[in-house]
Amino acid sequence: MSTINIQQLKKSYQTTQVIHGIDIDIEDGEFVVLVGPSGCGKSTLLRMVAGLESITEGDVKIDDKVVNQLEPKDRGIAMVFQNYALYPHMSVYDNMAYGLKLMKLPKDEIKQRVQEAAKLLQIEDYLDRRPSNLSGGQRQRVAMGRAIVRKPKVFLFDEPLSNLDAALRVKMRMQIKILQQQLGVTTIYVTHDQVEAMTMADKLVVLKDGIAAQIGSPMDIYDDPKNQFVAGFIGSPSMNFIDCTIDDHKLEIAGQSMPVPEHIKQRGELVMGIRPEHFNVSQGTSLQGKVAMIEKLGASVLLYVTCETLEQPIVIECDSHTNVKIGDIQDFTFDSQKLYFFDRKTQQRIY
Amino acid sequence: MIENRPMTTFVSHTVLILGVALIVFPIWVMLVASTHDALRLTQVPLPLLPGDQLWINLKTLFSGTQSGAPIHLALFNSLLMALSISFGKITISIISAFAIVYFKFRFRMFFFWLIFITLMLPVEVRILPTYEVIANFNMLDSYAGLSIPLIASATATFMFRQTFLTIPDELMEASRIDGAGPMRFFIDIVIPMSRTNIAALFVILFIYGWNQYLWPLLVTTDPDMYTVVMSIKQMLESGESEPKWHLIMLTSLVAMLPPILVVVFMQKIFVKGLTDSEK
Repeated sequence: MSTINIQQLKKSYQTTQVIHGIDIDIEDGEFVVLVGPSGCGKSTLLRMVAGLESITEGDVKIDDKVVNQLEPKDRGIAMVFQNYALYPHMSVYDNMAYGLKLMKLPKDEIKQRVQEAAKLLQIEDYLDRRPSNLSGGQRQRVAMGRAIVRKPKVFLFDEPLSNLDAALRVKMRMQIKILQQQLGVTTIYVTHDQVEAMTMADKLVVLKDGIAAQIGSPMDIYDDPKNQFVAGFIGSPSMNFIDCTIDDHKLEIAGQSMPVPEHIKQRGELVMGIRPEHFNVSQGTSLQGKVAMIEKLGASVLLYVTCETLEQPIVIECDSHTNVKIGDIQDFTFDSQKLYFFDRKTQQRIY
Repeated sequence: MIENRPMTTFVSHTVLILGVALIVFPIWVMLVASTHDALRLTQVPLPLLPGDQLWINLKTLFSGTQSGAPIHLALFNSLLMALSISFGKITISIISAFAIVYFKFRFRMFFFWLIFITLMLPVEVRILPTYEVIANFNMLDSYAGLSIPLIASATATFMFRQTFLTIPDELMEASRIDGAGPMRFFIDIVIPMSRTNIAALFVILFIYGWNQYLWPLLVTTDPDMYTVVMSIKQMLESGESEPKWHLIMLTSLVAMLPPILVVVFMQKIFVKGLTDSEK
């Protein structure tokens, strides 16, 4: 049961600064996901909380106690690594028990804790095996077991699912989430997969270039992104960004004019953002384009639509039984309530 | 490549058999010679079939009446020297490799290269200064003098360094989180993970130590300190009398046995250590 406060945390390697002052407050039992493209500093941030990476400036507090100088083992954390980092020469049981042995716990208690964790993770049958004789998903569970037996105040996950195949990943992410809710342990989870981030997080932290671009609940961030980066990163398929011009009379996109929605007060040269799921194929007056590519996903269909003056095709998600063929010229209406507008220079959201 | 042509099979087998014969023949001659008496070996042609004197020759050899020090003492010296060299080298180099790979200290790379450069300086090159040092330490005619100068080695350090570099960093981090300090990590994780390498290195080093000739020749003057390999040479030069070929051959045979045993018994783990790694 514990809170984590990250305050003005900075990290530099020699002269290059990789983390530029991040503040995150994590409540007791909260599941926080750090998400961002590779190189944004999310793993570094996690490793600083773990104590594997030194802190250049700022504080990490666990339960209101500054832990900057503490060894990892004294911070009350447990970490699950991307490649699991199981000790290859030890049996599953020994892997899970190793940390407890070093804590000098009595043998009975070690055994009891390992058995409990093994039961929880359904790996009781493999306790005598070596990690090399386990499948990826089983190794993943052993790595989690090793974290659980320590009864930590905080779980840290560093992209734990990225070595699994797609089906298993979906299954495991659910299990991790359920497990975390059962145990109620405060958790920080790093991933580059925004679907994973959206589905698991209580609180989402979107990182970009060592800065927290936005912190909030997944739906808040989805509905109300602060800037173009966050808008594009969260949501799959990602948001379309279209250069547009608005004056008092019309909204101009790709050389096509349409009436300005009443609630839009901004004027000038802007970037309009619209999510693929907020389009409809219809006959009304709207955006016209040519279908260049169709991706059938089963439940829905993605259309890649090119308009004359746009460099990027617009991605449109529509019903899977829509009768559209490649090469069709189509009109696409969109929900004017669901539009986002960004400043072209600062990329900040202005509406 | 799988081919199934009778001619190819025939040719390749012939070549292989010839190659094996070429290597085995001298050993066979040695084996045969050690089973005859001295007289028979001075007659031409040399015997190619085993005689019946093996047991008598063995007795003579181990009684030590024929050639100064008894052979079992030389065998013991060789064994002790080979073992100290192997264990000493493995211990020192695994520790130095651990320091170089897992600790960041000033001049780390400098020390690594310092060790590495000694690769270019085998015993033979530095033999005079090394002799001087050992002499000044009063270590001539001692086991320490026999083995210590041969323990310093870059090869093993380098090999362990390469092994350690293949151990993922996450294992170190995981053990830190589990609460293991550097030495715990070294003993609980690093050493068990390199045990096949240690075994492979042991085989190589044991044979290396066992076969040392020049260095023991220099530092030992006391016949009680002679190693087996040396004593073969000493037997050849035993005064004006005829070399006792039957005993010399038997000594060679006995000297070959320990390395062969080490290789035979550790072959599996040896090959494993050089080829695969369980990571």
